[in-house]
Amino acid sequence: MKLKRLYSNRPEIFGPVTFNEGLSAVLAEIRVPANRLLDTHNLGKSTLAELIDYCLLKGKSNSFFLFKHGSLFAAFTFYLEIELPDGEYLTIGRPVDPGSKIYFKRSESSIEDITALDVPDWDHLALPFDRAKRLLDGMLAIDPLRPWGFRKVVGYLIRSQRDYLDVFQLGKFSGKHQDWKPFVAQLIGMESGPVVELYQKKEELNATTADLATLTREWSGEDVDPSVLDGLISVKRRDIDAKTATLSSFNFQEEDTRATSELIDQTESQITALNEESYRLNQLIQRIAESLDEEQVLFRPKDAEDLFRQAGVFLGDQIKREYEQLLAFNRAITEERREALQEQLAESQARLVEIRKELETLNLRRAQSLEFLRNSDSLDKYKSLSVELADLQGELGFLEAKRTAAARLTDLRRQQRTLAEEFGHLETAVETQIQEISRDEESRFGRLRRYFTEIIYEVLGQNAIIAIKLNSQGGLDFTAEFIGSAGTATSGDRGTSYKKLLCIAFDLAFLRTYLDVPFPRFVYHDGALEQLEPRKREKLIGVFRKYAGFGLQPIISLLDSDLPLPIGSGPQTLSPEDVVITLHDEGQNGRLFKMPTW
Amino acid sequence: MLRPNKHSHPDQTVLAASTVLLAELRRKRAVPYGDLKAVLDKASHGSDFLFTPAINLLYLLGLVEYRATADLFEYAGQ
Repeated sequence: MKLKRLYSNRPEIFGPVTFNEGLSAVLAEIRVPANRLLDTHNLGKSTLAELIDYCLLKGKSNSFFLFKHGSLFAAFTFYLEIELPDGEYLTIGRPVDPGSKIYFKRSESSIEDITALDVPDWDHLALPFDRAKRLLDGMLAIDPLRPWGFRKVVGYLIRSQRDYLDVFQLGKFSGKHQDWKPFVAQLIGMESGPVVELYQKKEELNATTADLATLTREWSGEDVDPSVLDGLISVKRRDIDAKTATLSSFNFQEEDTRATSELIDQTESQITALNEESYRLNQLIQRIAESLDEEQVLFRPKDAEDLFRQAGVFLGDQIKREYEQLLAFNRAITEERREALQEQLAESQARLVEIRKELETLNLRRAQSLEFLRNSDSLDKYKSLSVELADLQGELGFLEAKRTAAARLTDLRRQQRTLAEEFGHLETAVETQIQEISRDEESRFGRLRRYFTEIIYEVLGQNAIIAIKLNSQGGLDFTAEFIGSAGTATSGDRGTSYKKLLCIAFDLAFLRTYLDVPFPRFVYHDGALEQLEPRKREKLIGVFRKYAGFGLQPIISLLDSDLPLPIGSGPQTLSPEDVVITLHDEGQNGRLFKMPTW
Repeated sequence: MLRPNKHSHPDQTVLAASTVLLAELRRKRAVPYGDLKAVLDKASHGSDFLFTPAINLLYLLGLVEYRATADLFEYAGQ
């Protein structure tokens, strides 16, 4: 995937920028001598990178200049044409208002200006943002990035000034390590599966440890040893059993009482039977009602025919006729069934009314029998014994709750042990993988390291290495640093200019390792040559040219004062063909947007 | 397979299912696999077995494309 052209529907303000197949330069000339001492010139070098990012479906944010100054840009629509892996072209259209609707047009040859197309010629019109992002993922088909989408890699393809602080961690990756480290691991050639799992397991382990600490604090001072608690529970249970036995062996021999109990038994069983029947009938009534509701056929042959015709397909007359016959047939069956169901419904409802009446009578009889029992003396004793039993059961309940907490504590300890063990296994797996890819010079990581070292050596004449290691907390650390003459890491990477060079070398090197598969080929480096000595600038331009020769599309932005020699004066500097747009500070015509600054 | 018989429930036929899918695809233009399957199941409960034949029919008629990397269906008709 390469960038072809970026333009807008307002060419008088934002003119088209056509990128070269190889090296492209965005040049800003400072022509007014007074401006030479300024740090920022507001000509639009960085803005161009932001616009490419925007057209590649960057998320909408109110701090983004197009939305922050909405009134200035509301009428703009930006178009980015890219070359797809299969040789086709794709134009992505994204208006500023609303910034959440995306337009796509695929074509076999490049389209110079899509605004000349009529509206219906777009393949997809005003697609919602998330769906558009997913569809673009599908069209770009960048398999090596799976399970992540292409947006994740865009940060490395468009390096803004704030992305030069760290080679691996971009400005936008400020969240948890879990959110970006597995991705970087995959990008540089590791298998991301175990790394993702490693971070998940670490998270789980931390959560379990925290839970365990909370629970231990809550029960501190209390005896929560499960075996002691089990002993106490067993003693309580024995007490309860004894009391229950006393209660059940209570003397109920008097004739009238026994007669009453029998009465209760009978009444109770009758009530139970009737309740069961009532429940069954209620269920049946509900099911019949559902069946009566369900019998509607949703399919309409006429509507289907219309819809297919709109989509450009005509259904045969015979198919349509057969479906209509089927509908008539179903309607006939349904009517027959409806009558039978309604009959059954009426019968069930009538029986339910009878049952309710019988239940009322039986409940009244039961209440009377109980009243009689309550009046006897023996029941007072029964009552007091019951209260004692209830107390005991309360204590048992408390002990059991405590036992549950103790069990949870044991569970958590076990879980923590298991997690720690699994985490250890994953650490080993990841470490083994690091060793393997690191040792193999031909692995993606091996090649990346070689290309990276080559670039740095070519520009600076110094050695630098890239390394992956597991840190003491079980996380991954990626490092890119210079090697001193003694063979140890030096602090040379701490200066901003050298850090930037490490970033550029990393981006070019990893893109080169992906040359054999469909993958983005472009990379935008904002202010690529700033702060380097002239000789090193020449070398770096040489590196960009060499990588353009491999099939990559490096795009750099620079000030004319960053050039080692004037344009076109030799192979060590840029040629006029490399420059895709020249910006200058003599009035608004020199800016990217030919309008007053905002 | 396209033609119904007297044992078919009208809602549980390939043509009915593909009508539901076509309507959704025309409305949204690009629909993830799982979402499209859910739409069919919601339209007529228990007819998800028709999903594959119905989507095959739409593909044969040139109305749909599948994008494997993103696992979604893209509407390809007029």
